[in-house]
Amino acid sequence: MNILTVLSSFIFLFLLSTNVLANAGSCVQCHTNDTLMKSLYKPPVTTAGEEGEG
Amino acid sequence: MYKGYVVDGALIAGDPHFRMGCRLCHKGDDKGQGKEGAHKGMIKRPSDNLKTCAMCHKQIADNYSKSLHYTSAGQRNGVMPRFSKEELKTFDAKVFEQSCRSCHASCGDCHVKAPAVGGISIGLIQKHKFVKKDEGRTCAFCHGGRVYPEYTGEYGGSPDVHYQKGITCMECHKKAEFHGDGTAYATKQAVKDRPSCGQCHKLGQEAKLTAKIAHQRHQGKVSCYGCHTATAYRQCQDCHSGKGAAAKPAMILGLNPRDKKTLTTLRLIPTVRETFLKDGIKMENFDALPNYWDSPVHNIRKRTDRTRSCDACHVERAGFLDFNTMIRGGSKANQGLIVTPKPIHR
Repeated sequence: MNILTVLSSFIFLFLLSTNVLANAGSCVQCHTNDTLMKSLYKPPVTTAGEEGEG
Repeated sequence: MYKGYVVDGALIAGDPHFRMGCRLCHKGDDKGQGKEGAHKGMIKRPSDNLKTCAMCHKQIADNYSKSLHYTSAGQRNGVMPRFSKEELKTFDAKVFEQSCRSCHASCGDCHVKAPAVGGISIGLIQKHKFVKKDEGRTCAFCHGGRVYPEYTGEYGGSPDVHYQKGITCMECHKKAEFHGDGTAYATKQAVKDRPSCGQCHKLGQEAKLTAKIAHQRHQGKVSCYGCHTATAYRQCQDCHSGKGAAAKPAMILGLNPRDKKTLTTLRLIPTVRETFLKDGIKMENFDALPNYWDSPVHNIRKRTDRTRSCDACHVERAGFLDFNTMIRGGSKANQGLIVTPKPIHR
């Protein structure tokens, strides 16, 4: 493995990690927070099955 | 349940699905304020549009677009012969898309979030992990009325012997059955490489001579299910558009409507003459199809009443479809499924 390959791998991983963080934003902050999700959760309105059962 | 919305943070760094961020599939506004702001324009079920998954999994998505799990075409094709041309148009416009087709499975239903049945879902299968399979949380929900609880024994009686040995759905039903192979099959019976008992259980290799003789005598005349289905199984009946069906257990043995030479386990199909009346469909050709169809019942046992004694069928005729047990007001085609086993000359 030459130095160029090692260097480009590091750059790729760096870009990848920054991309994840940049894109994650508020979605990840809320949806990985168990307590917050519990507080925001509203139970669904249930409907009866319509067409029999599979 | 709120846990169905909680994502495992540890997945995000490791799984390539998350590399481009949530918005790639879910859209929405990750700069938006609060829940409402962030969810503006969000797509809850991104894989309902197969193009989402096709960005990376093109071949699978292309094949899946023709798979019966996605098209639900089996339901349409199954009932279609009961309709006149005009009725079929009404069915397609008023019933198929809104009702039958709403039951199709997206990629996410099997790989990310358990499907909702009757408005209820357990949510994310494993905290948004893209799972290869998790039959108990996916197959089990859509097929939770009949096949799955029969298989596990939850419906009553004994569990299927294959379930007891730890065999799960996808060990018999292979991936190509779900993803499709690029062919738009009209019915599930037409799908290539469906499971069959003979793939594992070779005729002629029986340990017991009695089993070998019984198999030889009945080969081509009785399906494996005919003898090895253990107990009564669920029969749904009297289905009305918008109201659903009622269910009760029964074992029904009769001729396979698709192959009138073979005796097999039949299941009552809940379509009655008034099923689609609310939608303006009388089913002018209702009698073109029977109410009973061959069913691969999933509660198989090696020993059943019928394998223990020839008399169960040949003398007692237990479970055989006859005029007395036949559904009232059913199709005239039902009569063609009645079979009377020949007496045994001892």
